[in-house]
Amino acid sequence: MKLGVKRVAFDGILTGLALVSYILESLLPQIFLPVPGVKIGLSNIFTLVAVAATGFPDAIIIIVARTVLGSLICGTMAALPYSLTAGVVATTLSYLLYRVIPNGKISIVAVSVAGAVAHNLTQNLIFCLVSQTKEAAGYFPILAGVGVISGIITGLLAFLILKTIPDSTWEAVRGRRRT
Amino acid sequence: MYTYSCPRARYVRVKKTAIMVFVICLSLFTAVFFCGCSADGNYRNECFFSMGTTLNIVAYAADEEYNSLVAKVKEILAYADGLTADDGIVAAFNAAGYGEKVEIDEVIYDILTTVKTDDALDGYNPLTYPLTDLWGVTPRFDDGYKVTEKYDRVRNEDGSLPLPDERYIEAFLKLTDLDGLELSEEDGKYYCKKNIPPVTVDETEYGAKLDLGGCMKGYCLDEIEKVFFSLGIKYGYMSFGTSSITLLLNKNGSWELLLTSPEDNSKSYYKVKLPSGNASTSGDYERYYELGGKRYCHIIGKDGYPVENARSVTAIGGTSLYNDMLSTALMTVKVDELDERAALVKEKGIDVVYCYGPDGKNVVSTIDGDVVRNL
Amino acid sequence: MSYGTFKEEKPFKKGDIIVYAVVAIVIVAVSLAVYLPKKNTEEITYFDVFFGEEKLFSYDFSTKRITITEFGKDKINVTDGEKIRVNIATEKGSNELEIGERYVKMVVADCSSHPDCVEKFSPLTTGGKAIVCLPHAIKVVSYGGISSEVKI
Repeated sequence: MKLGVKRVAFDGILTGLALVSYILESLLPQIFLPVPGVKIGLSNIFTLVAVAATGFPDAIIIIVARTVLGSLICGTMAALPYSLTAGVVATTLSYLLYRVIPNGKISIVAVSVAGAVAHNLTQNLIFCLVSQTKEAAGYFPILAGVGVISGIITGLLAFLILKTIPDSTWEAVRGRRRT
Repeated sequence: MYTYSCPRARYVRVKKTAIMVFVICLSLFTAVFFCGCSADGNYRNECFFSMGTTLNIVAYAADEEYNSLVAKVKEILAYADGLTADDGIVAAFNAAGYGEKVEIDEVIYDILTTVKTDDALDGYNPLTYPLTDLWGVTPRFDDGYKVTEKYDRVRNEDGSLPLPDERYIEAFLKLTDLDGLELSEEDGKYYCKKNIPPVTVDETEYGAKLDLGGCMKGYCLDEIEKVFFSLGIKYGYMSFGTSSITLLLNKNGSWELLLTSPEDNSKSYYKVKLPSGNASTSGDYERYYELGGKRYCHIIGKDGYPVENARSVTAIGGTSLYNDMLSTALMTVKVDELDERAALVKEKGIDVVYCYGPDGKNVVSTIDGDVVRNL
Repeated sequence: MSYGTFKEEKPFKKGDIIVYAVVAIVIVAVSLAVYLPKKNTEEITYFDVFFGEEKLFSYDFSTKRITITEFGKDKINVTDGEKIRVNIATEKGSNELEIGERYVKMVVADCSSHPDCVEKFSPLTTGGKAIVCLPHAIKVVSYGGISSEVKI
């Protein structure tokens, strides 16, 4: 795929949207049970779109930029080790499931669910390892469950975006394919 | 090669995989479910009353094992209580005359042999009952001071008690001669010859009296621990009175053994972390009274007077029986000689913690632990 | 691989079944691992508080007693009242715990404006749980079942 100007611009838009939604979400009061770091994770919609439409390197850059800048702005730099790792792991898994497995067998919604669950569990796992508290693993079940729900929501929203935006835009972003 | 080109075949394969996955999931669930529910059983906590005090047993056991445990515990306690019953061995000994050969059992034979031969237990004497009673610190005074025996002191006009008559102290000391216990074994039966001459004071004759209260709790705990092991019960502990404890395993890791402060029995002065083990404490706060600012406790020293050495001694490790006897013995040892005795038992794998000084502030321990700061 | 067109994209495809099945297994396995052991569902009986690897103090709900270690005595300040408040001040920062009838929770932490340990961790009411303030290296670990404190 060519690294065209349109692609870079589109990635920029996705990053911006991801960052803004991340910051806005962090300002919202905790709706769910008070469990470490639980959110609907709307900014992941844009990462998913990147995985589906622009490719793996783009998605990784977006997730890293969003997490680092977002933590900086929100003042949660202390959480970086685990939120960044979790983000990268989830994005990689999403890419593997959506693009690497042949025949496009898996829908973006399922990918989103898998990614969300992986993200939450990885985040908690790293937290347990860093703080050397195996008891914090007690949050695993809730985190996994919440991951499923938030995964479905973000997945459906990503799906809508992919379907709604006309294919011509996708092709333009991609640059011309070599047929 | 053609199996995956046809959409319907692919669909069937996916469905088969999904069903397989679901079945694995279900079997995993059932397997873990049944595994997790086995072994340890429920948390049980029960109290038994014996030898004038309470035995508290805490155990994780399934119903069947627990019922067997309770039955055996009752048997063991019945044996201990039976020793002092009217037809018991101790009663028989106490009633026996000079030179009489009293039949005892293997348990008492072993205990008395150990007491007579082990240097580390020097100071523990099961024959001090007459002295302890003279000083008014036996269980018969638990509901208040009373005058029943000829040697019981009469209160002064101001309500205070005089010190016991020196003649009685001297006489009763003669009744504590351990060498006068001649132990023998014949044809599988055990005997103790009461070779201690009786003493006469004020025209009343007094004979030697055996009191195993200072070690029977420990003996019972050792026997009950064996039952725990034979039934496969691994988690729990048993606490007999406030002086003897046997710790098995703890599901949460290690136990934190708190040693009661002699100054305030609701507080502790030292804490030891133990994965398991036995511990016994003797202190000057268990049964005592104060006269003229001085404390008279229930442990009588070799001079016939209540001891004034350490405030509290705890023996950790070893059998409960041994710990019981040792902690009492060490209370009779002068504070500056305690370290030497502690070193002696350390070689047997037994640790000692003791405190001395007016507030019991000085703490010495051969095992790692924390001094407890009370709020 | 067909990039560029999402005409065939659907919210649910056949391959999804496997993904959801795997997620289901993970949730079941993790739930069993966390909720099955009795010690994780028993009511809290006592808890320990650590600064790094060293224990600062422990509190027993049945005897309502705090035991402060040598290490913790100059870092702890206890205020009694309807709910006991314990202030922990170390070189890394300060935290405050609230101890109620049968729970303990972190109420104050000056590590950030929205501390995780205060807002995201729920009060400890059962054994086998923890509250962690990572920047301050403070860890509160709860236990259920038999209290590990025994007295003679």
